[in-house]
Amino acid sequence: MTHDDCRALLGRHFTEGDLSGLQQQAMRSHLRGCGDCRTAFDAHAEAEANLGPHAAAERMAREHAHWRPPAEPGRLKRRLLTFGTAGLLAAGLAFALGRTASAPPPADDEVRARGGVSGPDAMAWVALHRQRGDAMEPLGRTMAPDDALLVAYTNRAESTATFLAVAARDAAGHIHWLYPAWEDPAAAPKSVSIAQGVADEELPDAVMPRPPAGPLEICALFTRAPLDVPKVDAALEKGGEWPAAEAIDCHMVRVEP
Amino acid sequence: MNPQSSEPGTDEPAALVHAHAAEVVRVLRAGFTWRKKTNQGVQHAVHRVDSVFEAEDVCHEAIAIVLRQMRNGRFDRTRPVRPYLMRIATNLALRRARLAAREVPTEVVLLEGRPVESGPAPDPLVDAERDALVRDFVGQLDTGERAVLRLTFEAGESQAAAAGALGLSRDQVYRTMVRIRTAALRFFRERGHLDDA
Repeated sequence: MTHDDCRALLGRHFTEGDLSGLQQQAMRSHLRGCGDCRTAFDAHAEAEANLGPHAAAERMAREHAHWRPPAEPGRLKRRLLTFGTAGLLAAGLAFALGRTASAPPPADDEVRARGGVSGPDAMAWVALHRQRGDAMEPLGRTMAPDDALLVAYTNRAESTATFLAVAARDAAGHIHWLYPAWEDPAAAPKSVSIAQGVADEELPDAVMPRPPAGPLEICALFTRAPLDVPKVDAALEKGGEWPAAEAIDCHMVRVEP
Repeated sequence: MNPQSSEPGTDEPAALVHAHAAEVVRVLRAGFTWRKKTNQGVQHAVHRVDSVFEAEDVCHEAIAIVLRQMRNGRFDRTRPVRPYLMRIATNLALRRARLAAREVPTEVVLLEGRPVESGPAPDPLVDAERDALVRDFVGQLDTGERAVLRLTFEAGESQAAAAGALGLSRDQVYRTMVRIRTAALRFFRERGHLDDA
């Protein structure tokens, strides 16, 4: 985050107070490491104090819901996807049966929303961020193989979806499951339960999928019933389309070392 | 994020913040005494958190720890929260200072958890100037805005309570608070009080 970004967020934070959780965390991460911007925060806080003894408490009560502790080594809970288990099992089986490898995602790197309703009428979508050390930033068109990804979902009150699964298809067509976590090949996880009528709700873990270089299609699947992840995974690994859902929000990025 | 959602009485974290955050931040910034053992024996030291941001960050962390202890059943809810929270906050402040300075005192003992009410000496001229500015600012607000300011920022009433008292909707109170905050930042910036902002 640049200083200008931080100052712009500071102004909004001390007036409208409508920053998303991820915006607040990104701003706070920057402030923890930037003395100049911290001085600007302090100046805003001093001006705010003139409004009355409870002005700061009102703002801090809003902040607290999205506050996260400073990152220390080992403090951020990260999940390394054990791609080697589920993905390799599927690839090995396909090879043994003489089937061709599943198709990689298209090279087109524009954000696409598929299924459900897209654009301004969309009922549900996700925002993706990546974390590098203490810094958190929106996921753009490229990412590094060891970036940790964070997902925040919006599920409007009118949405009928109550479950969410997020997975990525890499350049070789293999599937990486971000949510739910699938770390034991013998397990049969299902989509995570989500709330309705919420915006920018963050899923708890920063996930490191460690994909190979090339295009990576990350899709969020909003459904009325939980998806059977192993079943969906098997179909996707064979090159199948993403399953039907109330809403599907796909983001295309390029993984570059 | 719903800016209206963190009202005291709507959830436990917000209630803790409204009840204790201002005092915790004030104590951290004013300074507190702690006792450390050195080769020369026990020495009393005063630690002060200079930055508002840093003090608030420590306060948030302390409240998060207390909430976790409450949820784990490790904190006896019949006991007062304030001294427990204050001890955690002051220890956190010292820990952060140690991590930043890379030195480790041999022992940290708070003198009965009582803070030292010191800090920079008050300057009557600066305070008088600030008070005059605040009066000028409040004088520029309309009647409704002044009423909302007095009930919420000064008296600490919730948005819902202020709305009830003034015959407004909660959304109207919230939007008035945003207008006041925006006007305040503009007012003080124009008078050079946000030079670094």
